[in-house]
Amino acid sequence: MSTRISTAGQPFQAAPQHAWFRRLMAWARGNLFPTPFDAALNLVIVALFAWLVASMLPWALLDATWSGGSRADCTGTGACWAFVLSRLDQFIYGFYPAAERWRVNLAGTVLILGLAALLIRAVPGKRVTGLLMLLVYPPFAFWLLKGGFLGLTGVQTDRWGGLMLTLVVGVSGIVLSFPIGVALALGRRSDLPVFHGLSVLFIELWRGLPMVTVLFMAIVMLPYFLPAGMKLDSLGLAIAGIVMFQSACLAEIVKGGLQAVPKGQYEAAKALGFGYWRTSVYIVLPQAIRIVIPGLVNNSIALLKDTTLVMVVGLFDLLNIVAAGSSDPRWLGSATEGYIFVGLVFWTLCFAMSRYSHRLEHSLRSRRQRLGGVS
Amino acid sequence: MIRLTGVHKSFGAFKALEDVNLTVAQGEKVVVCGPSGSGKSTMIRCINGLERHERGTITVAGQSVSDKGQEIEEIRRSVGMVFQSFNLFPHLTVLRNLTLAPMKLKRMARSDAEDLAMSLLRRVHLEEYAGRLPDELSGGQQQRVAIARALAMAPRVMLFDEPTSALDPEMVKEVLDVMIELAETGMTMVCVTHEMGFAKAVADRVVFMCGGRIVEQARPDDFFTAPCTDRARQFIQQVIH
Ligand SMILES: Nc1ncnc2c1ncn2[C@@H]1O[C@H](COP(=O)(O)OP(=O)(O)OP(=O)(O)O)[C@@H](O)[C@H]1O
Ligand SMILES: [Mg+2]
Repeated sequence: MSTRISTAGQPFQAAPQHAWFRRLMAWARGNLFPTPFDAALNLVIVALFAWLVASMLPWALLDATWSGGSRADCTGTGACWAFVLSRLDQFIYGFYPAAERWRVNLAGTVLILGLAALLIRAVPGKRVTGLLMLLVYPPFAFWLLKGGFLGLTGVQTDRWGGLMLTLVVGVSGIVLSFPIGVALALGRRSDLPVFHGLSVLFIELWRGLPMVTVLFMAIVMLPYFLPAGMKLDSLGLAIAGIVMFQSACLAEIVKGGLQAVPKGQYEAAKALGFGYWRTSVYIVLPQAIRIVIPGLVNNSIALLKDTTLVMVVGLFDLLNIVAAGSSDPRWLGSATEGYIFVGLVFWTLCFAMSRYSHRLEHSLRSRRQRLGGVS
Repeated sequence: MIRLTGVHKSFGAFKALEDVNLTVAQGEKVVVCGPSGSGKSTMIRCINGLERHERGTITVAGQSVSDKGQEIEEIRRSVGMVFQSFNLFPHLTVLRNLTLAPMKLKRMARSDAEDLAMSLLRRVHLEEYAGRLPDELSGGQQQRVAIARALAMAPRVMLFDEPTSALDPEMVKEVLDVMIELAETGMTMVCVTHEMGFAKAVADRVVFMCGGRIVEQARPDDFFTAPCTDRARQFIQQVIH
């Protein structure tokens, strides 16, 4: 790369001397036009992209309708965003009573603040925040959302829906399956026959089932095994199913990380007098988890997208509620806009996760490289 | 301090140790040498139970090295070990490498553990590296940190398994110097090494192993000038060249 930039440097010497312009040209030379073939390829791709934007733009923005009470108000040739905007509250809160929505907002705000405090490097107190978010936040959010005790009126889970439900399922899935997955991974590599056997059984059982099947079984089969008259919460069941499935997947990922920790680390810990648990907690797991961060994030992204499957148990997550909304007689024909909106929301969430994991990997690697230079 | 009597150890059909008897007195420095595969590492690893011996008994400070979890962990806390490949914890800074075991295993307060760690780092001449990660150090520096980490548990015995053989030649001396300084404090040391200069300067006794047995034990001067066995003579020839 660097040689290409330097050899291609001559013809452009006469270009204007603005620093930013020179930097832009250097970047373009290095990255866009290093060889004639690359240049041609890049031009074709840029042209295709421009054509795509140009053909989407009128429909998506210029000719779109932004307000209205039914499909009939969307008279233009563009998209009918009025559908999404007029139902935005429902897409976010589901059927949550309007007077109680501040509770959802509060839970969401605390979640965002907590995540920001954890993810932004400069914020201190990571350990305390992490413990609060793992141990205190879930019961707090549960109380806030469900209510029914300590002064809050109850809101049954069948009124939950939309983005809020998607996030509840996604976040609980990620948070609950993590400790179980780590425990299973340790079990899989353990010498204790019972612990080992149960872990392998659990992992192989759940990993071999498609998520949809897991959800169906939870909702259709489980009630048969329960005492008659006992009614289960479909949200609880769906989350339980997702957590089982997810912990089995996580266990396999973490196992990979455990295998990548060199034997010398275990021996050094043992030689100092660490037992199995303390070796795992202080020495092996921190290294193993760092190694598999990309896998963990990938898995979380997959999980977030899989939450859309909860529609099979009759829950109205973001996707399902938008689909339902577009079958409202007043809005018939608005499915395209609805799905584009859902797609954008999911894409934003997943893209944010993926960027974050890239940054994390990058900062870990660059620290490594800096070290490599020293020694 | 350390006593091995009639120790046997095999890996499958292969006999790695056969009837090994060794006594190390308090404050004594023993250098173990011998050809590759002669069982030096295996013997030293049996002393702190990293390998389980099959027959015979091993005692450290009167406590028997058994395979019971609790007891062996107790023994390991008073036996420091330094490995050929350093094995520092790469996710922790140098300081945390030193404070982790005292804090978690001895419930030492963080400030006390850090004071101890800094004084040990000073002893291995690395106090300005406390905040670095192990990867940021040279091999010789890493090995000195590894020695300090073992010393942080205030061990009664230190075991070294070829501490300098993974190092570039110019770094060997800095590690050996630290080991010599440690020897001068009266620490009981068992050291697998082929560094003859170190053996001559420090060792009270050289133990020569071959084929899983201790073939010869002598004072360093006697061993290097007039070995009793042909095998030892051959070995010394090779090490000198
Ligand atoms: N975990 C193991 N499984 C099987 N064989 C082993 C194992 N560890 C050691 N051995 C064998 O036991 C013998 C003694 O090994 P040991 O590591 O003690 O030798 P050593 O004297 O330290 O040699 P070196 O100078 O190469 O380190 C070797 O032949 C080796 O192949
Ligand atoms: Mg060896």
